[in-house]
Amino acid sequence: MAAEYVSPFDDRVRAAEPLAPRPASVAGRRVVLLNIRKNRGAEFLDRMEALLRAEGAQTARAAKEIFSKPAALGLIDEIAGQADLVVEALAD
Amino acid sequence: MVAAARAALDPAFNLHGQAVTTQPAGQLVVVNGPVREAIGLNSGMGALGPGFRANLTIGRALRLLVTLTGGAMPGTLDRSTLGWMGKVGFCIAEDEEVSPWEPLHVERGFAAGQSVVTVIGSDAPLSISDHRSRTPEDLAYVLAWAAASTWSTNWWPLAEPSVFVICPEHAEMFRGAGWTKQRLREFMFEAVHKPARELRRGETTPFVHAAGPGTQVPKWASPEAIVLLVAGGEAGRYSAVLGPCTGMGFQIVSREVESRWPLST
Repeated sequence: MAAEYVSPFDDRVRAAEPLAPRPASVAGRRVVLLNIRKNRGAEFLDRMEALLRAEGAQTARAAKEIFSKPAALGLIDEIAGQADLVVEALAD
Repeated sequence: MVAAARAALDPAFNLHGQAVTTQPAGQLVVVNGPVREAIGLNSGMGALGPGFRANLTIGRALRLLVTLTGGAMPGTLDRSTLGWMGKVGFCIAEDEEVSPWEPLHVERGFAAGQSVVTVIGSDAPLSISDHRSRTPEDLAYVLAWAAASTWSTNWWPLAEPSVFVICPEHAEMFRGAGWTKQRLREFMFEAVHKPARELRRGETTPFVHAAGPGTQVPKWASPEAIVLLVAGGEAGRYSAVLGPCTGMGFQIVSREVESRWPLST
């Protein structure tokens, strides 16, 4: 099945959401890709990971137990200890 | 109320997920055992509706715990798109005296004489009228297929529990034919299948996408996803199905009522 991505925002016309500050480059940065375990979230992260690696980032994967529960504190600490940047995927 | 709170706060129930989801899901509270009579819980006429202080108080108190103590007010932590009125409060009792089967709490390992509260994440009731079936097979078929569009039309199979509230007249038909609860559950499970090709429209499951076009897909992942209760007025052939809360990884949780009735001071 071809990958198809849709915006996670609703379909109404709305003001742009402010973005978190972006680094000038991801080259050499440690990026953790967090899968919250929504359907097909891993596919989105696979694509993100390929793009980040192409830009020279070092990547690692992490996953929540299930999307409907808060991330375990241990997982948050683990990510905070090893990541410069985090990408959290919300997909369905 | 204490037992309901203890059950709902068990991490296995994942109240957090249920409370904050965009789904409509509420928390169905089912009471079994002698405490039903002791505190005046209604399991008869209008069993899913208003009119009885004990039912309303327990259901409302649990929801106040979720909203005021837990912070899951609509628009804040509660992100439910629509919600449903059961999120105001929803506590029912099973009519064990009318039921032909072992009650819910006995199925779940408790003794018949214990008073037990069970919590289940659930959607709103869909009424199922059947005044015409003359065989248990026909009635079971009608009841089961009523649930075909619960959660979403083509979202098959459902792993999470669907709760069927069987009215006394329907229950009597199964009693008369000697059907056990397990037989009914398995019949309903087998009755509702569709080929995958008919489910590939709009929202559907990874299971359907992965299945061959002719693969028969069940509405439920197993017969155990069908929960059967008996409640309601003595006349009128209306049962109901409450669709599931999905994706929360939650389990049904039961807790014994530890208070002894009447309370001694």
